[in-house]
Amino acid sequence: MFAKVIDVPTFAAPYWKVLEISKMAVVGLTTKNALLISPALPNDGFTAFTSLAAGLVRVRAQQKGWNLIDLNGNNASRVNVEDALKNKPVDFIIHYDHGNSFTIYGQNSNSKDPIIDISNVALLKGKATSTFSCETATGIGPLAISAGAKAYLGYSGPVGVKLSFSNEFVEAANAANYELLEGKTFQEAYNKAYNTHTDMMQHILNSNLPGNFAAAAIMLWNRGLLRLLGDPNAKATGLIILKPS
Amino acid sequence: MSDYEQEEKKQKEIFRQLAIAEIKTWISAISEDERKKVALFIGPRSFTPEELLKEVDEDTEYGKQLVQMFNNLRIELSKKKEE
Repeated sequence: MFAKVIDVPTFAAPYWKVLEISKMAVVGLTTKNALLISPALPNDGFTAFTSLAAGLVRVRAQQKGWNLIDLNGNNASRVNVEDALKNKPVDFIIHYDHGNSFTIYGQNSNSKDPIIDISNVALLKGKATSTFSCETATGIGPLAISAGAKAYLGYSGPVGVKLSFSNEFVEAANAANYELLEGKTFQEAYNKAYNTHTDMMQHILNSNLPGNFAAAAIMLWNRGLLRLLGDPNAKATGLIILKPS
Repeated sequence: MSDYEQEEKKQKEIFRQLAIAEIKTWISAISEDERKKVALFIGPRSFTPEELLKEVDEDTEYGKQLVQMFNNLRIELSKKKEE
């Protein structure tokens, strides 16, 4: 590899790099544009949990300098998600809510709204996706990769949450996203999430609180459902190469 | 039913009884109110501890899934002990 990477002070963009390849100078711009989708359905304890987890990811993304399109509650509608994916720069899609094999859900008028399904999964082309939702890694995930998505992190079955151990479940649900927001690869993020699930399982067992065996069993179950699809070396950040004319 | 199938059925019943015992231990450690409050989600479904016990007791699909989860944990813990 003959590339030399030189960091240049921040100007208008968050981060610049100059790559000198042979004698031709190429400028690469790392972009950090995330779309955070987090419904908050009324009377739905699961989305109450996912909203809590998404809130912490929102803060982390802002701290790490990501440009965030934040679609929460009724703003997490199919229309708004499609608009963002079609018309705005999005490198990384972070989703927290319900799902099944062939549908990722959002929210519209206080009801579940299918935001990504077979008919619009191609919108994930060229993008990285991470979702805390049920089953999507068995259907939407593979379809997204076939359509040209960089990478997809999701779960291959029904995920579980034990409410009295919410902190531990939030920690496990967010571990991969924290890594990806740091600029780590999907493989590194997957490994971190896997290990965090294991650590949280042990932490729950050590607590000796009522229901800890069930909670630890669910944590282990979630770990077994975690799937990484696509390029394990991909990152959630984008890269624009500017070549001299 | 073959010997293998009979043995498998017997094992499944033991695992189910272990899960029931585990949930009963949990229920006995919490208040009457807590027993009727939603305690966990599996996929789109929510469960109180009492509902969970009923699912396992009646050997429903969710009950079977929970028994499987408990078994996985026992296997994981026994592997850790071996290490």
